[in-house]
Amino acid sequence: MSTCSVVRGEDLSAFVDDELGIVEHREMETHLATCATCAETVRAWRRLGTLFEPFIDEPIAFTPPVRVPQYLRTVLVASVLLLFVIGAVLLGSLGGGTPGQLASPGIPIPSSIEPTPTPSREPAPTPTRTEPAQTVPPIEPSSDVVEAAGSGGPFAATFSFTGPIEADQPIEIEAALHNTADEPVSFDAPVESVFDIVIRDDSGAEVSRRSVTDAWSGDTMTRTVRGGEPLTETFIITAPSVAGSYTVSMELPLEPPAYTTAPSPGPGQQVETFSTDAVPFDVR
Amino acid sequence: MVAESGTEREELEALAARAQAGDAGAFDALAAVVSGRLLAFARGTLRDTQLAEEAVQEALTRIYRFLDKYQQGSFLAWSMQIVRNACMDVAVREGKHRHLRVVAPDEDVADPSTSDSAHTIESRIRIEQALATLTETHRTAFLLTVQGLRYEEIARICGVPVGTVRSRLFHARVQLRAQLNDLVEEDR
Repeated sequence: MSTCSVVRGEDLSAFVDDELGIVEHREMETHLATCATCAETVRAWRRLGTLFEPFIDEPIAFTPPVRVPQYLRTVLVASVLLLFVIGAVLLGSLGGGTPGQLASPGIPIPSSIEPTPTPSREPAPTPTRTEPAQTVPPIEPSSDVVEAAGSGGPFAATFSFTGPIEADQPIEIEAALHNTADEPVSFDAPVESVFDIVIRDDSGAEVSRRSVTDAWSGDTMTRTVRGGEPLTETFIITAPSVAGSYTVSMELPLEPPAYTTAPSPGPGQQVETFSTDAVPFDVR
Repeated sequence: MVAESGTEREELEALAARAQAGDAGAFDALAAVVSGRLLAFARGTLRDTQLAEEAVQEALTRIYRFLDKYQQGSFLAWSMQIVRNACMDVAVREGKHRHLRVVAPDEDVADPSTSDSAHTIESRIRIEQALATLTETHRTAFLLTVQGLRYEEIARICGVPVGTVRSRLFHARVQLRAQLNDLVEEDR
């Protein structure tokens, strides 16, 4: 036995880590003065800790990446674009075409190097872009909570982002899983991994998936979601490195027997994954 | 236990503040202090030295890039959060997510060219093996407390209540002691 019947093992462990409150710490010291079992455990756990001391002295070399100031990046990008434009104009002249047209008519000019069109009285056509079908409003930086309906289980979700969503910057997403059923709902999920947050680009390709988990061991535990008591997790993820339109959604991998409605657990409704509608957001 | 002392924390915070102000030397010093701890955590998590070094390099790069986002508090805890995320990214990339393969202790641990005695090497292999038997959640909590993080910091990193951290550390200690009792009793 690690401890006697008086003291909880978790408290003794917290004492070793100096994590008890002042009063509890003193009470534990008093107890240890008279309890050989607990005193021996404290000594052994402290010795156990010293076994891991060699695990920290391994500094490794790191060379910080070269940081190009923003103004220099702007100048570099502008210079490259200017060279492209000049090259396109020269090629167009040599080939006898109008400026802006390459000699070979079969090669389209990337829009990024097209010269600025001559102003016209007619309004410019509005660029059309295929948006994924959405039923929820887009997330604005530091927005209020955004709701997302889902399918595959009696759940819904809410998301809230903190801070501006800029490329390659850490963003904080608070996501909550709500119960839309009349009864409490239980399901088995990996320890700590209530659900995944999935980010996709505008083609639907998965860019990143993040769980609040280190439950690689496959341990599972039963979660119960009651009405009005959502399961909330906070995710800190790195925004996609390319500016553009993305979506965020929540996925809940469910292991058989999937979920059951409490208080009468039974076979439950068999589903593989609950997922929410994709909520669009832009990365600058 | 290798607790991060109050003085060390203050030194790290001071270095972080100087690095944020643009002092390149301060960042080098900061990286030198934390990289060993980050690597130890990554190795314990990924159980693969090469992948762990990749994760730490990625973490240090992120720390460097996002240093201006750091708000004074616990630089080590902030760094550990970043390296943990980097480890998860590496694990996902390597197909280890939720099915982390069990690997033998790193070969370099048994490298006879190191100055460690054979006895120490054998002990270290056993320690790594014992660590590998813990569940991922217990191991993470234990590795973070080995690095001197407070329960509240570990709870934030793992996204669980402090009480869960207490429970995990207790169970980790019980399991580790059962496997390493002869080493624990060695110096009595």
